[in-house]
Amino acid sequence: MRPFEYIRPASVAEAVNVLSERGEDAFVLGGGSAAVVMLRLGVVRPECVVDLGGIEEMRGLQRNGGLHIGALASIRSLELDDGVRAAYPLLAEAASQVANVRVRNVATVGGAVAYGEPQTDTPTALTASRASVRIAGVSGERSVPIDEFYIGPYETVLEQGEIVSGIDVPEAPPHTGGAHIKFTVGSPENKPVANASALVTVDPASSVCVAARVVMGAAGPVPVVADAAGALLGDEPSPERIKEIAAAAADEADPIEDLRGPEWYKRRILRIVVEQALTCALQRART
Amino acid sequence: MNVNLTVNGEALAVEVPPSTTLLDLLRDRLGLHGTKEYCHSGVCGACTVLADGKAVSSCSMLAGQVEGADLITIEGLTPEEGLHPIQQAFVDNFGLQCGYCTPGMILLAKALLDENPAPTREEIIRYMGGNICRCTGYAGILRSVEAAVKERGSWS
Repeated sequence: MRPFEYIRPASVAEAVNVLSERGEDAFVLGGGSAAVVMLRLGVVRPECVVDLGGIEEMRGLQRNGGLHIGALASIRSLELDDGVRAAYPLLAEAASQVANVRVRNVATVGGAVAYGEPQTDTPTALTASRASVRIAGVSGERSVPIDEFYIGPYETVLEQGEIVSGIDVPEAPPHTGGAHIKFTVGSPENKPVANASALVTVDPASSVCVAARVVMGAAGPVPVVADAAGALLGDEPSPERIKEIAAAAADEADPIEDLRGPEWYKRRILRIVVEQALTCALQRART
Repeated sequence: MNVNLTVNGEALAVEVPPSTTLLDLLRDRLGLHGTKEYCHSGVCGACTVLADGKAVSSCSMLAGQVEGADLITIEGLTPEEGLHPIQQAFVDNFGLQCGYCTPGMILLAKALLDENPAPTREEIIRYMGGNICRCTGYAGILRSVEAAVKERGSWS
């Protein structure tokens, strides 16, 4: 590995100061599961690596009204936390499907968000959950809805010297169900060919949908929020209707051909994962 | 840079270049060659070690990230005399052939059994599935872990 200077700040303020001073010479390391591989391969060749791992204030999960996820919270903590499993089961379900347990132990939620990789599960579920990304910089903190956070593959609204310090997720209303479906080839630990998160709220009296959100991952340059989900509102959809809506959602996606399959194949898979996610989310919303 | 950490019960202070991975620290600086190097990307699990009880890929961490951590490698799991019960279960149940994935498999099994003393077959597959073995076809590994679970009472 190419030599670099190693800096481990103890606070957010210290981190953003050093990052703004060092500018393009600096590279941010969260858990390292993606960053260390990039350093090793020479994909990035920074003068200095800023390891955020020592920043106590960016750790942990807190629930009060909503969920605050410290940027350093591991994917595994999202998977296992009892509070998250009870009130944000969609997030726990998506987290449990990321890579393997070794990666989930060290990979951070903030890192998964900031990396901007399209072929991953956590951002899909966070987008379906209407999360906001807290961004810290030398001039203070700002919060950006996750729908507006991604610009393109591996590209976000983060400016030079800024870091993701946390993620806020609003609590879903009662009678809401969520589901995350990931499809892989080879092994379940592999990156998704496609995935989908659905979050649906029903009116318990009439059983009709009063809120619905469907997000597709590995389906375009950024997580794709499907407009087709709007057709669920006021409806108690039959299995056939769900199939139609899933097909319409897949048409909105913009997948590219890669080693996980050609574009037409990914669109076929998207239809299936959206249908399954919606069916499962609706079932959970009704029970 | 200086890294303070505990490896297999021994507190150490090691001077390394910042670009040293945990894997390089263990193998090249400490001579602990039981930890294997293969995919360099956190996929295969050959380099699995326990950091504060959690299974991690030592290839995808910098040495600086384990400052203050308590690490266990396969050398630390192995008792002075004989084998750890999980190791013995792998021997008894043909859980290895070439042996390259074995240290990682055994440490991952240790992490699993520490978290969940009585995992079901499904839970073992789900937890261990990320570590790759190209010889056994996994049936022997699954048998070995199930045997270690059965014996758990006698060594926990």
